[in-house]
Amino acid sequence: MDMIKPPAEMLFEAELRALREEDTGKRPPEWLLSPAYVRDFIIGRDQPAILDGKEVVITRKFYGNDVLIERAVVTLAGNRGLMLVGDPGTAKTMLSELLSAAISGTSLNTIQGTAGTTEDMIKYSWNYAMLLDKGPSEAALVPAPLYNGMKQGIMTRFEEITRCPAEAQDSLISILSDKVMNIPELDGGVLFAKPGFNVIATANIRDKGVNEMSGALKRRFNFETIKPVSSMKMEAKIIENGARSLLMHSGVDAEIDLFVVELLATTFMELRSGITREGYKIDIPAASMSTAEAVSVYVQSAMTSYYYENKSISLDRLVQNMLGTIAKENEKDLSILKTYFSKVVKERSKEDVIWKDYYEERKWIG
Amino acid sequence: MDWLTGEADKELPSLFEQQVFNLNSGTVYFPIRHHSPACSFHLLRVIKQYNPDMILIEGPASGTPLIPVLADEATETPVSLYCTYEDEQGGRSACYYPLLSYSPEYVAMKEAARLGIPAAFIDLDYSHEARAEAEKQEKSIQDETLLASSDFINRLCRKMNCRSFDELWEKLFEIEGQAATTEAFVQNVFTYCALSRMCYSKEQLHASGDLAREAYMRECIKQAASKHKRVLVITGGFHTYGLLEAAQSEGLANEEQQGKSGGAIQQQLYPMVYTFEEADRLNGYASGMPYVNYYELIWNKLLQNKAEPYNQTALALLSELMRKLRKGQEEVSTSDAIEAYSMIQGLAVLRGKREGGVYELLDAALSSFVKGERTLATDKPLEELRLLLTGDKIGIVAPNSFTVPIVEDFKNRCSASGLQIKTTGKHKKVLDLYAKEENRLLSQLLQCASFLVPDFAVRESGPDWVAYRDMNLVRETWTYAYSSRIEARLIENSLYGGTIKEAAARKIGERMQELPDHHSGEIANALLQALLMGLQDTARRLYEQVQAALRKDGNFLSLCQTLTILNRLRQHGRLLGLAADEQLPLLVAEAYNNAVDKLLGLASIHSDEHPAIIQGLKLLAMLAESSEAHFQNDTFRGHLSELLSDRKLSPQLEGVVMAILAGLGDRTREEMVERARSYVRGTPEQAKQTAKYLQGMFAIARDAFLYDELLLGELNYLIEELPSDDFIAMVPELRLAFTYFTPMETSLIAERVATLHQAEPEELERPPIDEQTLIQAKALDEAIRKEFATWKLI
Repeated sequence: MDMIKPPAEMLFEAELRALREEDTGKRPPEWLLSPAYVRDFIIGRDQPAILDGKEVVITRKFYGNDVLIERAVVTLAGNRGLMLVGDPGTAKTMLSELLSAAISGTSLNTIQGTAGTTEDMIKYSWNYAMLLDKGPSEAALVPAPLYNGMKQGIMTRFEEITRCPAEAQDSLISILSDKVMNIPELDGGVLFAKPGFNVIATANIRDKGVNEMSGALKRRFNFETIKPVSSMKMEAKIIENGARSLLMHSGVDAEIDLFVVELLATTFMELRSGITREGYKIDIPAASMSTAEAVSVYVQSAMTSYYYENKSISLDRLVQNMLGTIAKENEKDLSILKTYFSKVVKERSKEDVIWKDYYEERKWIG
Repeated sequence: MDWLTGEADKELPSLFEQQVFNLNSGTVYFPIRHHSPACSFHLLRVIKQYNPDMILIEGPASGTPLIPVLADEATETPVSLYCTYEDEQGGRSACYYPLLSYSPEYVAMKEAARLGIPAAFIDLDYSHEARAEAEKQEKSIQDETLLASSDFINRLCRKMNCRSFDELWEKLFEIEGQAATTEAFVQNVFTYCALSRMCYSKEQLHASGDLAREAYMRECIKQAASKHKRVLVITGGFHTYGLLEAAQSEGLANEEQQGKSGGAIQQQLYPMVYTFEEADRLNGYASGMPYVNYYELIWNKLLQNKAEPYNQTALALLSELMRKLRKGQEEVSTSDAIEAYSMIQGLAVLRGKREGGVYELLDAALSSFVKGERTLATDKPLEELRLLLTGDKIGIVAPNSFTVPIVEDFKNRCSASGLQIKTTGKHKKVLDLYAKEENRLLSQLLQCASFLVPDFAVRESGPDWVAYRDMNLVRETWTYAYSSRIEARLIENSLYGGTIKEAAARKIGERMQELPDHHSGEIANALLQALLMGLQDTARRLYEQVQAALRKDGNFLSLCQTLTILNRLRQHGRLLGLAADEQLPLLVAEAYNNAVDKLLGLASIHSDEHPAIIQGLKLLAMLAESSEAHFQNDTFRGHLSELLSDRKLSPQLEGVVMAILAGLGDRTREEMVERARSYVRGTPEQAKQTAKYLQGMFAIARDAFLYDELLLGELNYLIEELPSDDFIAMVPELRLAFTYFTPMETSLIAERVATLHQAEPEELERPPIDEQTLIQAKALDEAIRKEFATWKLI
């Protein structure tokens, strides 16, 4: 079946199978891989695994803090849930997908948190026709992800937990500590969690319109803070990989221009950190300048160039698309970008041809 | 450890068996890493097994006589050897040789003392090359930059998923080491260090001075081996390979002159107390392992032969951490600690470690104790844990006869002047600064000592000459407390000289040299400080520095600051007990002349600086009027006249300059008033500047306004003519101008204003309409409005 974005377990099926075959380490109950292999799956390793006599390269999928991955894996094998927090676009969701794909073989058992999430979307609800017809029975119960996770002993992902109202968040509290779900409608309705169950939540703390988590909920999670990548090279690598796979899936057959990627990575990193590579201070826009945004700017620009001009990515498209990303929060951000061009880019344009071309596209910034 | 032997040079295993760790031979080499509990643990076993009759230790050779003091029962770690060096050119440097309870060197000394066999240091005292490279003044002898930063080790860290050399070491040697046989452990250390050494070229090793040191050590070992049957040599693993006979050829070419070139160097070694805080490399001291308290706990467990020392220590620290966090009102529960402990176990398994070490402990605390996003606000648990890992222990040095000149001098002077330093505890002293000679001397001693060791004494109150505050006070109150830590800091100052005064003079001289040349004001401040410390006789050089700075200083304000300080010293030096000095007046004159030379540039200085400039001009005017020969007032007056003709001069400065010149008699008072008038009667824009001009003028010559009818009349005219909005805008500046007047003068002015308007002064204070009438009128107005509204007339 065609799909825009296949889940991690499908995307990396070969790697996961190869690792499973090779792995002889001790596994926590119901885990498909041992903790060390989960780590290797996520941060990659030099030595390829063998599947059906062929070598399968274990690629690096998460760039940044490797020690954090180790902690996250060990947390999931323990008693507490894992809470990934950090700025928007720092690959929290991707990491949660990778973890559950590696551990439970599926990343689809997911609660997608919104302001409208209610308790029955988390635990279970009822097939009302059947309920009226036959009264409460297990057959009439419609399981939600948390129920599924407990029943099958698999990871339950909870996306954007801070966007959910506090009532919905709090329905997790006793389940996480007792590992039992009471179903009062059923006779003797108690669901004990099967080993292998745990919760990976992602949360955005600084965004507008989030709900503060209660202390009780916080206590039941181990927190890992994911920081934006701090090295330009790494950021460029992520943009390159991300853009390549997105373009491939949209059927755009365009080479990735590494110079443009570097340009984009530099611009985003400098605007995010407020300091240029020469060590000068610059203003920081209010909009989120995450790596994910950079990827989408690149992909958009490449697609526009591909469809309208029938060529590979051009710098004028890049700058045009960048505007949409930066001018999200307020008008002032635009003038910050303008100053960036007139100070930093101009200075570099004297020495570097690509920066010179980049500088010439400043006319698009209104 | 297959990963090692797989890559290892083939010669290493046989070399190890035959030359390094051959318990049947006359010399056994024990490679160590400084401050490694596992090395100490195995060293104890080797000493028992080998039963040496002499132990040689990597350490400065002339420190050997100090070994009995360090190994004394009364000495408690952490302690350190402190070495100062001075060469003929006056170049100085100092370094530390810290010892912790679990340092292999310290364990060896203690064991030697227990067994009654001799122990000696065998390293070069000092290496030129190392000093030339080390810009830092203080460093550790046990520098391991070479060991920890080789390419080999960086690659290994990546491959083993370790974040740093320290983690790698802990994983492979500290944690694994407890279970290994001694021979295997020693072989691993040796192979590991030898391999990392091979990443450096002979030139690099030569440049770092390592080859010369090893040549010297070899010589010492040879001598010892000729006298004793079984010699145990304990050196950093990095050097062991270099000490072996097989490796001798590599250093031969240049060892001769290297080893013996130390003749012209003067050096001193003292034992001193040390603290865990300083010993922890994470605090910026380059020696050995980080987290000293943690490893001391591990060492104690190792000595007691406890099973699972790392887990036990983690448990103890976690509960300690909880206690501390609860005390600090942090929200923690026992379940956090349980989670953390089980996380340590999980991480240890994941990372392939026998037990979780300090890195697992830190990771576990991060995961389990930090609630919410990791920010400064939530970082408290980790911060507390780090403090626990470092510890706060302070060592004790056994009483000994190795006296340090500067400490002796300090103690003598203290007992001569009645300061109590025998007991630790805070003491207070009130000094009658100006009346009693001996009190002044004591104040100078306290100033000196607190300059060298800021923690020793604090001046609670008294005149502050440097900041020029509380100058009305005549008594100084000091509190001081002496402890072994203060003594250690004092020993560190022996780098600067043998007596308190000498050290302070040299230290302040160096500090002055570090100041940028053109900041003469700060240099003059340092001079003042030196004189407060009673360093007048040694301060000659400081005078020269001030003079040189004056010549390079091009900033009017900074020159004025210098002039103020020097002039203060010239006038009130007697109070500080300064001897009459012909150089000081010359310096004042120099500062005065330089400042006068800079007058012409004042027109272009930003208005923010004007208040300071006015103060400077006032001082210059005062000196110029003093008619002392040093201060040529011709140039001063000439420059001021010229400045006055500068079109760019701001109105405020114009007022100041004009007033000064009128005072000196160069310009007439009429001109001063005329200029004010020209502002008043000028274009509206110019008229707004009047207040600024007056501010300047009043700062110097406010009497002009008191008796000059014309000026008063003009100001009256201005206020009458000014549109109301402009007047309101001008009021703050005008008010500021009139703040220069005393209350009596203000009432005098009021009288004159009253006369001008043919009124009584009291009338001026009354409001034009009294409040009652206003309220009535307002009420009436409202009533009529209301009435009109009902009649629909408005």
